[in-house]
Amino acid sequence: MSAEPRTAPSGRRRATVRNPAVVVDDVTVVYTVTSTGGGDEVPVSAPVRLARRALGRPPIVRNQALTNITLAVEEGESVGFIGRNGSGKSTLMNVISGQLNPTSGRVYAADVPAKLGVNVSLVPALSGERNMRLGCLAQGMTPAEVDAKMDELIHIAALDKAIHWPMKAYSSGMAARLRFAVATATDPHILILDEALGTGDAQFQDRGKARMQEIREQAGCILFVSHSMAEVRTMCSRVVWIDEGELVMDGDPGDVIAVYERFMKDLAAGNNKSALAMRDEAREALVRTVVADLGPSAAQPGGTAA
Amino acid sequence: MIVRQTPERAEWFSSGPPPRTVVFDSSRLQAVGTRPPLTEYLVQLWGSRHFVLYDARVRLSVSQEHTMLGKAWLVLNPALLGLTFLLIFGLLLGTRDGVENFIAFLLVGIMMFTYSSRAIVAGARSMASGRALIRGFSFPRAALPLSINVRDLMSQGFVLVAMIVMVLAIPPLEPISWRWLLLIPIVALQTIFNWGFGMLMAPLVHRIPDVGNLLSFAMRIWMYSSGIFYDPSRFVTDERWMLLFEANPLYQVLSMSRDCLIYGITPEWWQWTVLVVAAFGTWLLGLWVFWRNEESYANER
Repeated sequence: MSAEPRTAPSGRRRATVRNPAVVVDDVTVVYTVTSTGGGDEVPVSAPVRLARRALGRPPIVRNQALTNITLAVEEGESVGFIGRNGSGKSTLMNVISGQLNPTSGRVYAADVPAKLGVNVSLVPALSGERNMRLGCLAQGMTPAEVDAKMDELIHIAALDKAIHWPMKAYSSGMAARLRFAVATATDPHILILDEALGTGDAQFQDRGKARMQEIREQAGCILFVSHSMAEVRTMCSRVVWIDEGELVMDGDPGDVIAVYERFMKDLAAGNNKSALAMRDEAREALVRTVVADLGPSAAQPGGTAA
Repeated sequence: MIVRQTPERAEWFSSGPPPRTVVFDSSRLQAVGTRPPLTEYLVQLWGSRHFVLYDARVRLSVSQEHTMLGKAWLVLNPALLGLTFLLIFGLLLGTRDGVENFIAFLLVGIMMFTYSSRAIVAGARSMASGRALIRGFSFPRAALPLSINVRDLMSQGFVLVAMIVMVLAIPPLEPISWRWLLLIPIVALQTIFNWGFGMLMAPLVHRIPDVGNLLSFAMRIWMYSSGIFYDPSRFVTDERWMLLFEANPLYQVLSMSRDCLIYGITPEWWQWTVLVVAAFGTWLLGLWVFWRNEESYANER
């Protein structure tokens, strides 16, 4: 269904994002998973239920991971995503990077987003250097480009002689260093970091931050998931708080983090009711985003583009 | 300019602060995770050739890393398989009667057939075995079955050398002829067939992983019905039944390579036709089906 957007006359803010690099248009994700309890099963017919029980397969439940998320990220922006465990941050990152299809909605991006996750293990039996080469080639680099970049990547990863060891011998921090080097090798326009720096030590975190700064200076944008508020505060120009799959706050890091920290403190102290009330209040006050496609597929009455 | 109006949005318009509208041009941005047109897909696949070759090479080199003999197993595996079948079917049972140079007949059959069964099963399971790469990077997913087929072609290189050495070394000795070179187009067509068949099965195995288990049994049945340790013309007298064997592209692969290597017979044009049509037909169908399902590989099972 289409309608004329309700714009300027009523004094609504228009098109504050001029050059979006990422547009998340009304994304909803519903998972089905097996569950051994809870009683919120998806109703199925009796024979199917019996067959599943006979095969020892637990019943299926639906999990609403994301609900109608709409976001736009501008070029050069560095957006932090914060929220409780299981709030849908990683799911959103997977959708943006194209590794998960949304149940409804769509994501548009200026370039193929490069995502650096916590659990991407390449080929465990292969040495770090070869894994690095494989990852670079998988991102579409040519062998000559990889050769030219290799020394720099080895320097970024800073793994010393461990770069020649098989990756199965790596600690989680060492593997994270290698993955970070691979993901930033192509100078990605859009970089998604899903708790990528968390396992690293101080040296790696400093290098990682410097590399992220470089990417932002090249007009790239960074989507950054972290539970470390200090990290988010220093690295992000905007913070989005997601809870139970819905946007709660979106704005200046100082404001969002202050409310989020109060929320988490209340939860930790057991004041669930007041915490949830605070969250609901913040969600009510959120300025929603509506995206409008100006593309050739859309009709353009009168050319309202700014 | 079009803004989609969903019930949720209607609700936002009525309560809370007014929304802000972000205008963007979908022709400047690309939709993430969508399937490109087939021609563009093939261009992307060509662009990932460096990745495919490197992936195939390193996977072959680490495939026997956990063993003490390492790469020797690439040759030992087919050789021991040949000896096993020789022992069971050649010496204990008597299927050798009536087949000239039965040892070579059996070795060529097994070594050529196991290539297809390995490559097809691995290709069909490629979406599961390549999960780490799928989750980490965005490349046309058809690069994975291609890489697996390149890897299996490389390891088949070792097997072919072992096969030719055994045919040359185990009496009765067969004369070397120019026909041995015909093995190259036969293996090439067989590879295209394997690749296509793997791509055809991969979306189904991804959706229903149980099919992967059934596929191994199907390949076993296919093997026994392709005349691997018997010559079907000895058992089948009815012409119509014989047609069933001859329409089977893998039977043709076995029969043609035996003719070239052992019996000094040049395969006939209709045999080439069966193989060419089966290989390219399967490849085109497999590619189309695999591409149609490109978006589904993002869904975890």
